[in-house]
Amino acid sequence: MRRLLLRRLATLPLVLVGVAVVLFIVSQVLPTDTVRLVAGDNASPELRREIAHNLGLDRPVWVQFWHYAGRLLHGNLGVSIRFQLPVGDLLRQALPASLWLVGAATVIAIVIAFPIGILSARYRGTWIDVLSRAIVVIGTSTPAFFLGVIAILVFGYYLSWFPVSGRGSPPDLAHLVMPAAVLGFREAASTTRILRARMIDELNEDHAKASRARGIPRRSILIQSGFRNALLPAITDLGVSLTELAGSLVLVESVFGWPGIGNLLYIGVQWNDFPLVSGAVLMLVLYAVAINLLVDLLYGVADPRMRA
Amino acid sequence: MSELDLDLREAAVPQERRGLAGREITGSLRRFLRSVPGVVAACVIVCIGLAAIIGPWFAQDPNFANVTQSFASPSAAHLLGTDDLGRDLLARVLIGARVALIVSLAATAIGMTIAMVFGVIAGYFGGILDELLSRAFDVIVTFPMILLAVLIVVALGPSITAVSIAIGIVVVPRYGRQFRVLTKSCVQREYVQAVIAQGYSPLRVIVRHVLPNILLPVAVIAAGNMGRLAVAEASLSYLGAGVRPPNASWGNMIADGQEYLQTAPGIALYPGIALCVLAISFSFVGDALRDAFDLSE
Repeated sequence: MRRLLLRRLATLPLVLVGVAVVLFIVSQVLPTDTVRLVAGDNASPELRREIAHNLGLDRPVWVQFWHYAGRLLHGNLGVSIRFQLPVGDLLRQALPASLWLVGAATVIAIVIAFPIGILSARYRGTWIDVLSRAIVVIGTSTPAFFLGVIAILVFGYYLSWFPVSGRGSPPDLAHLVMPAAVLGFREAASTTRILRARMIDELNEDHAKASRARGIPRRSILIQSGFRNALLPAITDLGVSLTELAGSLVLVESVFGWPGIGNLLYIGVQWNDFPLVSGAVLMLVLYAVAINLLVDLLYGVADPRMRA
Repeated sequence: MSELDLDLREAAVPQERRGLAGREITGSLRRFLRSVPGVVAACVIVCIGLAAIIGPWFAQDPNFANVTQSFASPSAAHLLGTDDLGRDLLARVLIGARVALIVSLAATAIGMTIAMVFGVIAGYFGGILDELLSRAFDVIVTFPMILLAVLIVVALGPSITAVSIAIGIVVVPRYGRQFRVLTKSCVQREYVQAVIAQGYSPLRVIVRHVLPNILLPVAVIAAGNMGRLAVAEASLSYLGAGVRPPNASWGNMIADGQEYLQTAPGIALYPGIALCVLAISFSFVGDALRDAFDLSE
């Protein structure tokens, strides 16, 4: 376990450098002429050169990258064009909203995926199995934003159960329900499938049959032979969905106008605000990397073999 | 050593080298045809494809706005009604289908090509090159798909081309890993070792002996994945990092229609339903193909 963790920690800087490189390359590809943006259209060549020098744009690319990476390390993400505020501050303000949303969605995902995954493996071919298959198909194939639109239409307008947009002031739970449910539902889909499939496999294994022959109650077999063994793949899958969540988060936050990181990214795209877009992307990628690490840790807790 | 001599020696290599044997492919196809959901879904995709190709010829101009006709209910003139600017919804849904299919095809082609080059190089030569490319794949995979695509589109400026390139790049590591693993196992086989031992250039060995064996499995996986790429296109367009108004895409139609959800839900629902049908069909076809060709991702 310690070795695995060390290896993961060792690749972490590599991933971070990789992310910085990608962000830097993309910002270099940007077809905007930064000097003209600062100096205006009619600047003299001397002035242009001076500005380019002050901004460090006349230096070799790798020097520019070095400075760029240095700025990132100091948490300096630039200034948003739309808001005229430091991107770092904007992200910090938006972070709690996103964390609430992700947390609530994960709880909902676990509450959906585990019981339905287990029950559909136990009662194959019954209505609960059909339900689980419906969740899987709808959850994996329906785009997050369209699921959100349908939720707004049905539960927001027709039934008027929940408010359709924003977080409420002060933030309340009613506003959280729909975005968290949509996000959680999508997260639950693949985990439900994995859990069901693995449990069915495990319950057909010899050790499960042996337990049955010894007269151990079915419920114990289901949990001991089935669930315990299917838990690891399910956790791994939940981790993958949690990483993927960073993408759906952007869509769901935009649909519901939820004032989090994803919504900032959406605003940044609308306004061609590259500093804001890249800052939000960086933040969400850091989240994904952190989740990956966390899943590895959980893996160690759930599987004693990994602790050796 | 004459050219003829070379060819003769190559011909002496066991017949196995000619890719998956024809019989194997027909067998897999027959297995696919026996899967009812797979075949039904394939028919649905073909229908959507035909509608996307032929439909816009018969439908009205999807960008023709007529404010006096806005929010019209379905009628003979507008089979699905009109949107907030009085544009024909059916025509826009059809054009949207075209956009979705073009982007998913183009992105698959772009992604497969880049992935093939890097994946095969990594798998064939191994060593430090393999290590570097594999790490690069790992890093890109940490990026959630949509985020990287948004970043690329914002950098390139929103257009169909930019969206195709962005989505194509995003899927590179996914297919690249497949190519790498398949190349690795292919190179170890006797007939490839035999060709290498005879001193043929790596390029020739790869093009004539490795690629024919590994293209099909990756292509099958990529085909099943196209629905996800269509969803990615719609997602990007929904966010405004894709096809920009007034041009129609299912994504920006849904974004547009969200405003009028209460009064005219059809504006958002029709393109959304079309997108779901396409995505679900592709996922059924993908599952059936994977089963039929006995592949796992």
